[in-house]
Amino acid sequence: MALTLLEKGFAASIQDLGRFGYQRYGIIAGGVMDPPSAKLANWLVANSESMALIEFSFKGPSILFTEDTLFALSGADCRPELDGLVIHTGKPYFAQAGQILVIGGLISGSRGYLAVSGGIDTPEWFGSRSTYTRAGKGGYKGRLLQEQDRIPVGQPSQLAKKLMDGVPVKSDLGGWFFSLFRAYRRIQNIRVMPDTLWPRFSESSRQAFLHSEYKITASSDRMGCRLEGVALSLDNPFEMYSEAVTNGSIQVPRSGQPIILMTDHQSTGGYPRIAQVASVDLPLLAQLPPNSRISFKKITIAAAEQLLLKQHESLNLLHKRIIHKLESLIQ
Amino acid sequence: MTIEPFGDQAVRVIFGDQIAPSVQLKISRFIQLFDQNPFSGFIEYVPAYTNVVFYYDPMKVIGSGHKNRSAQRQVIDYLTELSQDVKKGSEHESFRRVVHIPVCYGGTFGPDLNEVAAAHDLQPDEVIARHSAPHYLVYMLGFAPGFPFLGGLPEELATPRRATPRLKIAAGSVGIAGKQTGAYPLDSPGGWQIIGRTPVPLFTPETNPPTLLQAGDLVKFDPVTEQEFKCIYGGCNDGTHFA
Repeated sequence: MALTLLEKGFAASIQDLGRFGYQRYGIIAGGVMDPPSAKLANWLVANSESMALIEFSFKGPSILFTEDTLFALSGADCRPELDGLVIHTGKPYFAQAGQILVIGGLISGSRGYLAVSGGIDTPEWFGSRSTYTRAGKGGYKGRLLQEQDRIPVGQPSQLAKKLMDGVPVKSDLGGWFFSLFRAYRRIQNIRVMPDTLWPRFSESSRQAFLHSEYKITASSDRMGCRLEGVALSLDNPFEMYSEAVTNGSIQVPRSGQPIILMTDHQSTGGYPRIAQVASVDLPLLAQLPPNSRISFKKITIAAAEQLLLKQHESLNLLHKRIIHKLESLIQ
Repeated sequence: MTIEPFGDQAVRVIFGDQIAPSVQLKISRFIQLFDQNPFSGFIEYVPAYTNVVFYYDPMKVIGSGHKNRSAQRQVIDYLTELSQDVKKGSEHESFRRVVHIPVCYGGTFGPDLNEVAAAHDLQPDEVIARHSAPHYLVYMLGFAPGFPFLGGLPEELATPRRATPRLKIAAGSVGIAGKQTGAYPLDSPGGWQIIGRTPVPLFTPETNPPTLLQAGDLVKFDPVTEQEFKCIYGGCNDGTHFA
C-alpha cells in the first residue's frame, strides 16, 4: 500500500506521538504539534492513536491514492476535495484507487492532519516515525515531503477492512462528524505556571507578562512560538548553565521577547524561563497562526494537572464514541 | 539535593550549583540507581551540569498510584525517597569510561587555532598540547544529537565565541566557547572557535545509544596528523585511537 504526493503543500511531514527516551543524547522528542487532533484523525480511520500520519501547515498537500484507502482529516479547518467533490474534516472517507485528494489552504488553525487506515509505514527510528530533519532521520527519508514521494501505508485494522468491504455507500461513511470544538480567532487565554526563575524577573516584567497581550510572530515554527510584546527583563542579568527544557518552557533571551518552546525544541536550553505553559493549552497554541494575539493567565501546577486529566478523559470518551459509530456502520 | 516542579509533566532534581566533577558523580549515581527502580509513568530523564529533569505522564502516574494525590506530588515523593538510598553509596569514580577522540588540529580543519593561540600569547603547538592534555568530563549532551558539553578546559585556553557565528561548521569540528570545549556531531551553524576536527562520528544513528558519548564519560583528545585523520576517516581499521 502506498500513496503519492502530487503537490507538497507547506512543510508537510510524517509525524507520530514522538520519540521518547533519547533527549539525554541530545535527540529531540518531536512528534505532532497538536496531539488531540492527530489522535482524532487516527481514531476516525480505526487506527491506534500512536500511528504515523501526515502533518501540514498553512497549505495541505494533494494526494493520489494508489490503493483503496480509508482516510480522515482533522486539526485546522480547510475545504478539501476528493476528485472535485467537497468533503469535510472530522469524518472518515473511503477513497478508491486512482482518486485524488486536494486539501488546499487552511482557513482557520495552522496545522492539519491526514490519517490513512493502516498508518504511514515508513521505517521507525528509535521507536518513532517522526521526522527529525536536522538529523536527517525518521519520517520519509528524514526530510519534509516532496512532490512525487511515494509514501508507504501499513495494513488497515480489522475494523477498517470491514468498513471498506461492507459499507454500501462508499465515499462518505456517515452524516456525522467529530471535532474538538476549538476556535482560533479571538484573543486566546494561555494558562501558565510561573517558573522557579519567576522571582528573578523585574516586577514590571512580571506585571506586563500577565497583563498585556503578546502577538505570535511569523518566525514561529515547530521549534518555538516566537512572541512580540512588552520586552521582559531580569532584575540582575545572570548567565545560566544549559539545562533540560520542555514543551511549553517560556524562554526570555536578551532581546526580552519571549519564545515558547514547542515540539521540535532542542533538548536543552540556557535562557532564563519566566513560566511554563500548561500542557493542556499547548495543542491550541500550536494551532494559532502568525499574528494571533494571546494573553497569559497564571494557574497552579495542581490546577494544570487537573485540566490535563480532564482533557485526557474527554478524549477517551470521544474515542469510545467514534469506535461505537464505526462499529455501527458494519452491523 | 532539592527537587523543584518543572511545569505539569516534569520535575528537576538539583544536586549542586557549580559545575564540578563531584556534582556530576552524584548525578551519575542517582541515575544508575533510578534505572534499576523507575516509577510507573516515567518517560525519560535528561541530566545537565548540576541537575536532572525527570519527565513523566501524569495520567499513568495517577493510574498506577494514588488516585487522590497529584502526580507531581507522587513523583517528588518517590525521587526524595530514592535520594536517601544514594547517600549510602561510595564516592568511587572508577566506573567512568574513557573515550579517546583523535583530533587533527589546525590547518583547514582548525581555522581558528592561530587566533586562539594569539589571543593567549601561545604558539599553536602549545594550544594543541594544552587542549589534548586533560581528561574532560562529559556533563551533558544537548543542542544537537551527540553534542557533548565538556568540563575541564584549562583556564588559559578559555576564549570568547566568534563575534560573527559561521553559517556552517563541518561535522566533527572541535571548538572552544568560553570555558567550554566540545565537538559538533553534525554540520551546523555556530559561533565556537574551531581548532581542529575529529574523523570519529559523534552521532551514530544506526547504533543504540545513537551517540559516541554519554553524560559521565571522560574524553581524551589525541592529536593526529592529517594522514592519520584520513586513514581513520576512510576506515583503515587499525583501531589505534579507540579505547
